[in-house]
Amino acid sequence: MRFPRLVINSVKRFFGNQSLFPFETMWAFFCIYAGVAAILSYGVTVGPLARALGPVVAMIFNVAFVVAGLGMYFGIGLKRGNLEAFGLFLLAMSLAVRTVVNGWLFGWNAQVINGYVLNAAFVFSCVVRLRTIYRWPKGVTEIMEGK
Amino acid sequence: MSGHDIVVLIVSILGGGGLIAGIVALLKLRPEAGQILVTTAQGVVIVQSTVIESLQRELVRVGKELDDLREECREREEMLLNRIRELERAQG
Repeated sequence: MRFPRLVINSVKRFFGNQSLFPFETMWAFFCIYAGVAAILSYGVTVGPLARALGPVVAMIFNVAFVVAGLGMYFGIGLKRGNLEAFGLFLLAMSLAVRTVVNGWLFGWNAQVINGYVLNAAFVFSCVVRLRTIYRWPKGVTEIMEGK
Repeated sequence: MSGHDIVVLIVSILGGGGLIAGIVALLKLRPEAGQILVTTAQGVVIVQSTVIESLQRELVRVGKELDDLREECREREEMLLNRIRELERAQG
């Protein structure tokens, strides 16, 4: 009887941790979904990455997108800053790569600029979140020392 | 160097850099996470130890004061009892 209770409590704690960061969790879930959809070519014919770099490299980056989402999703739920940071780095890298490839393939037009702005906003939020994760240990230590 | 080669180069740098940074973050942050708990616990223990030591010193001081007061009270009581006996003898 104890084991189910342990599982239920762990699951409650997992989603409770995620409820503190709903937008990040939602974005992590979307990354997983988008990556899987791209891998299965569900609603996606041939993406810019496949056209520019070939199907194998595009698949690698799609997998990286999924891994980034998983890292963030479980990093937030399990309160593992290192796992979340891993996901954030991969996500920022994926978005930067897609931005570069879109710009090269489609040139300079309104759609591409809109994509740039959206991706830049997401990369910026990744950087801010990473900074929070890296700075937190020092903040806690300073509080304990009364500074 | 064609545009495609430049894109491949940039993508390789970004991809490799991002992956390496992610792996370093995954491996490096873990010991610090434990260190946070250790440092926090150490801070709490130090604060508690200092408070306990201070309370112990205060306890010793108050105990000594109490002993001094008891001695003083006993001496005064003895003095007053002797005075009462003298007065009773004098009366009668």
